[in-house]
Amino acid sequence: MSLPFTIAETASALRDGSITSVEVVERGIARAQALDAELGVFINRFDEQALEAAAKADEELAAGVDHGPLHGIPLGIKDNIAAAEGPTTAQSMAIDPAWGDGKDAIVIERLKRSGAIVAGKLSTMEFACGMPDPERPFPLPRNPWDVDRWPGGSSSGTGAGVAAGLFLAGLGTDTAGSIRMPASFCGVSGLKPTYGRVPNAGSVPLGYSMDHIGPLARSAQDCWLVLEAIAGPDPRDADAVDRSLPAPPPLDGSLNGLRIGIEREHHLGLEPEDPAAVPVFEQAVEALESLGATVTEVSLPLYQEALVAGLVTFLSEGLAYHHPDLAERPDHYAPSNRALFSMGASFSGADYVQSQRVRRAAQRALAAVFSDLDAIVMPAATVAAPSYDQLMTGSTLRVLGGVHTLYWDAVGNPALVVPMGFTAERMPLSLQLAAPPFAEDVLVRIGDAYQRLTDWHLQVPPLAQEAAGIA
Amino acid sequence: MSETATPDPVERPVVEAMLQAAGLDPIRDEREREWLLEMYGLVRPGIAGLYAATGVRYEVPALNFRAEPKLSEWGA
Repeated sequence: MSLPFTIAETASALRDGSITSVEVVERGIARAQALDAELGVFINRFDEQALEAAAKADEELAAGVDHGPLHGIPLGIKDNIAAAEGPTTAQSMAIDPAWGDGKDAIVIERLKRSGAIVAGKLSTMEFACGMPDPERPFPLPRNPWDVDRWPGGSSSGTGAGVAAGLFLAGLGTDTAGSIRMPASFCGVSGLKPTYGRVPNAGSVPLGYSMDHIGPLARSAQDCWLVLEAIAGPDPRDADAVDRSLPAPPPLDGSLNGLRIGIEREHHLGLEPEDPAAVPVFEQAVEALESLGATVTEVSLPLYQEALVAGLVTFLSEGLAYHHPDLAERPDHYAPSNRALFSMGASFSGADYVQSQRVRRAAQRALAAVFSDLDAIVMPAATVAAPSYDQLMTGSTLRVLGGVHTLYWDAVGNPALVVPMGFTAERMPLSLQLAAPPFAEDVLVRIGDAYQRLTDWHLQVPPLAQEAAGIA
Repeated sequence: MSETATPDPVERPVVEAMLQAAGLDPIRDEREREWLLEMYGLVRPGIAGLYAATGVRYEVPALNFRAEPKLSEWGA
């Protein structure tokens, strides 16, 4: 039997009785048992609790109690977000083992109220930054499209797990691109909401003013379903914004009337760039036009300045959080993070404040650009997932220079990544869409229309096809 | 970032002095030092650009200090 791929399909199947939540959870567990020793997706699996929750979800549905589209759906949670089922490690030896112990982050409380099931906690990089580190006592996440390659980070396990079908969707965090990079490298969809749309309280901070929690899932529509559950203010999070989520966007496949800016200037024709990146992107732009969108060339304002401001901001904020531990017990930190957080010491207080002025100026200039546009599109990355050999032996900054995500963290606008094709080596490439603040509905409308026209988001890595018995 | 820079040997003592001033001594080997110097060489030239950026001279920083903050935090 071909099993459903998406939350939307699974929710429908759960309600017409063609599948149960227990069967969905069992499928994920079976795939994890078959694949996870190789993929390194899970830090902790909560199989027993997940099966109990699934049985309860089935009973409730049978009794007519329906918590909505996430009812009975297993999700994976990046392990820098607290869930009561187990410890939060942030994949670090430096974190206080009692951090978040026995508590649910606000987003986890909300997912559970929506009927979702926590399948387990997922691999990342230490404190959601730095580099993957095979020397540390944690799983080394691998890309389901090629296990010699990295799945991207830092929401590595979430991206790899969705791509391999170990769960239907999951949560990641994004401070410089950590939702969108693994989504792009693993060929799944990923949504970084507007800053403040989703409360961060209960996730280990990296850069306070740039941290975003958001979904990775197979489709843009599924990202919306998760966002609906986790968005909204909470008195326990001072940065969460009291702003209602718009009504669900029309998912009719039409982009008639939408005005989309195409950003080539800061994304194409630069090194590094895979030979397939430009033609695949141009095909995606043609597809958006064919769906009725009007496209026009745009240039993102203060682009390089916003990237530098973003780096200064999250490295300074990160060092402020880690300074006491980094000073007292640096050996507990991964080598790459010892170097990365040290960078925060090279900026002055004035540099930090000036970075916030640049961010505000970029927001202001960007608002003017959006006055004539509904969305802007660009590649999420002009490179495919690098091999571990490239990562460990080459210049990390050069390898990751083709990832184009940081700008949208610096300005705080929402950004969605959807798969748009493959390289010659059959590695995923993705389209990135950005919108004005709090216009996630526009992004999902565009992403969904594109995914009704194409099937890149439904492609399954051969390794996962074999595990599912559908090859 | 889409450009890379070659670490400048002159920057090494500068970076070490900054770490010392911050009360930090986290760097354990030459590989970590090279990472730090590469990053520093990439980012440092951009700092001057922050102060020269168009439209920023009289901009208000994206900082939000509240006299009456919300005090009910998740970790409390």
